Amino acid sequence: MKRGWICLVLVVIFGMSVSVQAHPAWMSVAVKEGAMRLAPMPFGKIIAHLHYGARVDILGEQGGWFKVRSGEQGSDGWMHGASLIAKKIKLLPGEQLEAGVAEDELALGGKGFNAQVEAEYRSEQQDVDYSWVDRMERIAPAAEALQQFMAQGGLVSNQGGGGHAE
Amino acid sequence: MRNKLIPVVALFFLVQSLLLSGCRTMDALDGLGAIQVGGFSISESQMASIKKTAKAMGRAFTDITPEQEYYIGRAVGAKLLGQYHPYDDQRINRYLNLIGRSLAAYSEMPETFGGYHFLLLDDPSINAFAAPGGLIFVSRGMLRCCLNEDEVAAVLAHEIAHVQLKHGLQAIKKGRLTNVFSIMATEGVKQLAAPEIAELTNLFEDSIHDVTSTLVNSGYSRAFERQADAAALNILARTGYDPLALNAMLGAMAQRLDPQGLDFAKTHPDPKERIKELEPLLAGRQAMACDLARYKRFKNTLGKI
Repeated sequence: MKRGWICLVLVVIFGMSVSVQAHPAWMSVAVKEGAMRLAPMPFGKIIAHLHYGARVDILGEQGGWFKVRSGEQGSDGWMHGASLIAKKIKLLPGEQLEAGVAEDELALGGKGFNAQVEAEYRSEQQDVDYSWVDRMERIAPAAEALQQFMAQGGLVSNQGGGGHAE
Repeated sequence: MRNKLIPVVALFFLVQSLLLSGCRTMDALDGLGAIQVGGFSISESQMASIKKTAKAMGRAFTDITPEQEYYIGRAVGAKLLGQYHPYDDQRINRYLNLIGRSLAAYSEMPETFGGYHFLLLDDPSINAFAAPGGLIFVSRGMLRCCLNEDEVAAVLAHEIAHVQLKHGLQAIKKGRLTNVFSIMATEGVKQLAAPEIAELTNLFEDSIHDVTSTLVNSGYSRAFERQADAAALNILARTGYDPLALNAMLGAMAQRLDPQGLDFAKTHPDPKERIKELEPLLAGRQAMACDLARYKRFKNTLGKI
């Protein structure tokens, strides 16, 4: 009985150690336009925009931000974890996925719920009107306007470099 | 006893490591029959059952990609806008987007596939909705509960928190997602035929219905609302807004809410209860001094809402 418990404890400890992982070696940009910043903070200066599916090498991690290197841009910078995913994104038009490719990679090749499914849905649901959704998506104040808004209103200071401190 | 316990422990370890290491391990496991784990043999049928469990547990809303979330969110937004009309005022909508985007930048999910966008609804009811991916809607009735910019920020921060915590996606029934993932597996190796696209579209439609009816009719669980309120306090504080504004705003809402209403009265816990649950999180916090510039722009933009 005692040996069983020791065994259980060892298994739990080992199981936990499995979950503690270092950051992945590379990740893919999972948003339409991924901002690469000079510093790991909101409103850090944007040095490049990386397109959906672009692959970046991960050099380090700090509080939800990843230090990345983009071969395409030839530069290093910081990207927030929300804009990255540790999976390969296959996107090139006409590119065939090999048989046996991992299921979780497929979703990222624009599979599943995508523009084609939206088009199909819209043709079936004539009464659903997307025009305001499209208009809404175009309301996007520029980063400079946002920072000005925050500074004027005395918002934030220490993290983002905005606010009255500036 | 000892002999019974050891295989259980081995199974526990195997399932745990499968769940921790995710889908890639599943692929590595495919093709394996009986295997040895720590010297204990596991039969083929046990193996199949483990795979099934790991697969069922591992396939959830967290596997929805940002891109899929985006298309779900657009459809939910379009559906909501069939029920509630937008208030077409550029100045007000820009103001809401400036507040909302400032907050989103300090959330745990500052970036989404299509970004955060905010829209005012021309509706006297007290309502606010967050579609997955960051399309956020707030009614004129809701803004009438707000006395200053910080309170508007509190409303938007609560909605951003729902996006960040992926509450909308969790309203989608799990069985639908399982079907979506199995169609995707087919899609990986060949072009989808018309019946499969039709099935995927049906699943899409049903998923949109799950999310929209939760937002408009049934509401989230109390636990989700509590999580969103707690996350909203963090977002407000990090952005530089007064977290106590959420409390103040809920107080005004309690005054205005008609208990029989089909708005927040129906989909959210009683604001007085929410205030009570925020108490321990706000204990000892002093109200921030009113920022004049913030107050002026609020009055100028939303004074007559």
